[in-house]
Amino acid sequence: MLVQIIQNEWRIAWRERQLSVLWIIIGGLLLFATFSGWQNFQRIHHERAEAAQLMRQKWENQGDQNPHSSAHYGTYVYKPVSILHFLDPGIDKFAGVSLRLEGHVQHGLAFAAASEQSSLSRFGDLHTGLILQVLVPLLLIFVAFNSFQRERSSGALRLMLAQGTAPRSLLWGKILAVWSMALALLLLVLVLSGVLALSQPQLSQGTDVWLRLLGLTTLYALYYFLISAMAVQLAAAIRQPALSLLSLLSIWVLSTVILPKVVAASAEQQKPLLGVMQFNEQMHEEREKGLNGHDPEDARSKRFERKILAKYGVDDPSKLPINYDGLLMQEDEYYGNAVWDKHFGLLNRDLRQQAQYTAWSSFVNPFQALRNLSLSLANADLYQHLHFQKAAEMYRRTLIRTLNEKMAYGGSKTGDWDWTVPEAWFSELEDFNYQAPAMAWSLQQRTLELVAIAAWALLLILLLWMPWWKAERLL
Amino acid sequence: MITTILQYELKQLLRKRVGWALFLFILLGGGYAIAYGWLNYQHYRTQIDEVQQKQAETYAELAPKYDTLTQLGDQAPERLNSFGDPIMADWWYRRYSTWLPGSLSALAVGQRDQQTPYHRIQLYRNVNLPELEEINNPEQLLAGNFDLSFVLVYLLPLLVIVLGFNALSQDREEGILSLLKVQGLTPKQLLFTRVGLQFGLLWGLSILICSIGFGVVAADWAHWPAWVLGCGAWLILWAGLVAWVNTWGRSSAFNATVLAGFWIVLLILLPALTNFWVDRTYPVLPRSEFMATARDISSQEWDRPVAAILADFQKTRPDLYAKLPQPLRDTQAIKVFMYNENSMAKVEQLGAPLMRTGSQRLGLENRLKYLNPAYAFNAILTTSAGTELSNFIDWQNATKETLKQNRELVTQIGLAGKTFKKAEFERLPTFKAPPLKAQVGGNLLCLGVLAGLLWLLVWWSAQRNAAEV
Repeated sequence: MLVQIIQNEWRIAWRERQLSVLWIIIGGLLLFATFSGWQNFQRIHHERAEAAQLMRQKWENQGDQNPHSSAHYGTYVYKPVSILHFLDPGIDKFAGVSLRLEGHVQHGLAFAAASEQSSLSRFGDLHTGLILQVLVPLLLIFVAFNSFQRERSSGALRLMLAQGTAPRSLLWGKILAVWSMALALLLLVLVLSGVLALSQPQLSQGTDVWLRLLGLTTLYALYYFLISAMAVQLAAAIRQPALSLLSLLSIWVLSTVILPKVVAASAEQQKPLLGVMQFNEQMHEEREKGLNGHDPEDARSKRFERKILAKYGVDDPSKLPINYDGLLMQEDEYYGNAVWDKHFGLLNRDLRQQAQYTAWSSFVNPFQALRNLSLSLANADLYQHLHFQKAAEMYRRTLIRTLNEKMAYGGSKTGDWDWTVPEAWFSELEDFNYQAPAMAWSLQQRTLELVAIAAWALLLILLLWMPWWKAERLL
Repeated sequence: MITTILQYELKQLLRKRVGWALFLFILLGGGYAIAYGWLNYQHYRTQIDEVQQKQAETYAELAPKYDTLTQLGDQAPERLNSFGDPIMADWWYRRYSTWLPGSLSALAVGQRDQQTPYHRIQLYRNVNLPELEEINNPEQLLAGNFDLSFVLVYLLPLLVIVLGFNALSQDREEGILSLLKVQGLTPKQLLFTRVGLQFGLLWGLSILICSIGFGVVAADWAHWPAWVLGCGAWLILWAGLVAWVNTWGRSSAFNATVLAGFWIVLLILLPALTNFWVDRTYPVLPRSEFMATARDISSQEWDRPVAAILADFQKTRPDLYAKLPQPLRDTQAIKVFMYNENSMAKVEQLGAPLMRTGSQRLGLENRLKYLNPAYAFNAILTTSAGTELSNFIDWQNATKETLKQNRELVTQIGLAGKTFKKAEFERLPTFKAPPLKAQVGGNLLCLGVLAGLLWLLVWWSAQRNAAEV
């Protein structure tokens, strides 16, 4: 019986010209967006890979240098773009993409593309994620809103119920039919994505990409089930098709357009972030006056000097067998690291709290869960951004420590700022090689959203099993 | 007859519970948006105020030192020497150019939240190389702002649709339309009166919300007519769409589906497609390569022999070169200025395409606005609030000009071998904000032309489908 109902629903939808045209338009848009998203991904990927290569070349060809000059010269690292960027670019254009690494300072990621765009960019970009998140649910609403009205007005519904079709089977049949229309579109995207990913084997190596693609497909399939179940149950409960459509559209607008903005705005008000000037001033002050405010830089340096002189049993840095400047700079780095850990730690805590705030709203709005999980599975969310930032900072600390240690123990003496290291030595230093987190890690950050979307699915299934779905209610 | 219809329709509208609910929703949404925008603006304003206060504090701290330098001349204490040095004077006096859109930006945040609103005015600074980048949560930026412009651009059309999707179809479905026809009323009259009334009410509502917004944030009322006219043109366009769909003579559900489709197309699909077009035509250029190249230019320039730097300088700045005291003293000090002049000239040349891309993108977006009316309406709101990319580019250009003036002054004093005293210190340029350029006329014209064409279509469609209507 279920199969017959599904077949019948497909037949009706296909016969209704507007629906079939809409389905084809959305399908076409999906293919176009996926393909152009792939081209865009390739462009960005090459751009960043080339830039990273160029920076490495500059690093390796910096000539014979004093290690400290080299620390000031520094380098840039680039956030690699995830291969699934073509499906959901996420925060990519709103977040910085490159990070300057140098001695004495921890920078934040800079040069977000959106800052060079007009407010037209805030209307949204045409990408597969937008169509899957916004337009496909709308198609399902258009298909489902009068799915009972047709049979009510033609008398077919009465006939079906009289012939013994259980109301619940009818509901399930219609839900599965509507759902399958979305699944067909999803399959289209999945196949095209698979083909595109396979065309670049060096980028789609390993199981993580495929697991993420599978995860995204499952996520969207689950969300479309929610939409189908909700739309069909509302269509069954509301007799007037216009009212049913209006209610569904209101829910769609509220959940897709209004609530995400309201929640983001509230999260921002709950945990406002410091301005960059204030943030830097605070760090600058703590480096100068000490973390407790009573340990100035001079006093710290003097203490450190006494310690080193005592260790080597001499009374002046110039008599040391090593270069004291290198040791002092590294000591200053250690202190700076503690200051940065404190302040960047507080900033990251605030950012995470904002993200948690929006995550909780998934229990009210399943769209929020979908959006956050989609960002996370595409490796394009805030958590991955912070993960990259941390990895880059760890690399910077190792790099600067190596340079300072070379300065200290490489054969120069205190005050010998003209001392240089051959170019080849710089080439031997390891390049930054970022390993993006695995899917399990990404999902771990989004436990609330996972629980919320599962709870929504459970709730809608439970609603289907409620005793109020009797024949009289449907008629 | 029209008066009777109007009275009747007003009664009907007042009885419509969904309409009331939405009316309240828009009012509440508008209220929330105004409150959100105001808090957001206060936070932003505090940051800018801190920067400006820091500049004032630095001035207050330095001014007495320059008084002493002027009064005592060569007798001034040695510790003040560095303040007399032109490069150090420029360094000590921390000045900033600040991008400070007015309080109207609380109602249309635009791109304000994406930009770093301050830039240090100093000898070695380049507007393309911002020292600081504002801290933001990229996921919040992705979600966007719930400001008044969002309510007007996105939510107001929904109210037009909800009130008008069944402007004729409901009467037909309930069998009332034929009764009305018998009484000598044409469906066209009924449709136009209804849509006209709904338009009037909604325009009134939008004027009310805008006025509350302007009052709460104490905005410059000179921009109020632009907002009100913009809302009017935007509503006429949507009322035209509602009327057009109603002339097709289809069911209420069908009308609602088509109008929802229009909403999606005008507010999601067309802007997304336009974005796509603009992005592909003028992609945002990667800036960090520029930064790295600028860094290399700077170090290469520094490493060149003084004679080569001097030769270049003679070519690029003959005006300054001619003023150099002959024979040349202290070439190392002169080298610093020339190195700076030469490398800045090269860096600016390198950065020119970056500055150009923003304007090129805006130009194309502006040309495409007839395909994308939401952009035109949004641009009226954001440019009058001073929060559009075009306003930011104006600020960048003004900053560039201030940087240039600063460089000229410090370099001239430095090359002449003079030191800084009170007079020179007072001459160090501070930033003057450029006048706000609101782009209202062209965008209003665009909305007006599109609405006019649409209403012609409505008229034609109503004539053509008179029987179905």
